[in-house]
Amino acid sequence: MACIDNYNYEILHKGSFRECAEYIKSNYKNIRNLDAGEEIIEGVMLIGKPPIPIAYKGEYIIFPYTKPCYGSFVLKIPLNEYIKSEKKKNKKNTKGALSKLKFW
Amino acid sequence: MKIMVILGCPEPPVLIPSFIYLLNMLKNNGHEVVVSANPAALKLIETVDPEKYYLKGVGFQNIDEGLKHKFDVDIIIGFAHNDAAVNYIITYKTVYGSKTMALVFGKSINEEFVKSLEEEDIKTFTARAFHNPVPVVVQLKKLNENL
Repeated sequence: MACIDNYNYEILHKGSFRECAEYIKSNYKNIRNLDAGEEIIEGVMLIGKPPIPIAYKGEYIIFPYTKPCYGSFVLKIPLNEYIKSEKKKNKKNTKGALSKLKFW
Repeated sequence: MKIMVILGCPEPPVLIPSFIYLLNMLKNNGHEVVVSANPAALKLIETVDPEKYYLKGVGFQNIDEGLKHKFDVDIIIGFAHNDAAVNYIITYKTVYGSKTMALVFGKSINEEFVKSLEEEDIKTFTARAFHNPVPVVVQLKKLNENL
């Protein structure tokens, strides 16, 4: 499973989810709104209150990222890494998803 | 009913004891329980119940994994003391589409958390509690009456 550390990300902003969403909406023009829980890049889900703004600028994709203990950030990753992860995601989807639920 | 409990960052001392209290109450009422939590919270839960007295038969998964592999759940209950937990609870409700309830707690009640959750049709309970679990337990009993 991939995680955010596998990508060359840059932190643009840190704050509450609402502040991060506002930061994206007010600083970028090319925006798509996605639903919560969508896998934006392989292994990284969108966490927050929908609609969640995702921006594209030049060779980069910009999105809000949330960790339980650390809060929300606005991250920027290169578009070529995003495209690579899209291909992996599509391949993975054809195999079907099994629940990772375990029991004590 | 199949009930999923969401636990975020386990920093507040009341979180894990309150979860065990809720788990005991839900199991005694015949519910099936699954917990989606961050890895540190899962380790703490295992540590407080080494003989699996409360945990036997309870399902568990990493809080991020639970969003990738959806299954049927009747009710989601989330504990929220920070912005991230509020957003995880909203995301779980969006992904699973199940009835969702939340308990907002902490040294003070953040009204913005309550507003964000209620705007998403999540029934929200509040307790001013950080070290003392009694206010949380009172609210969990109320929450149980609403299941």
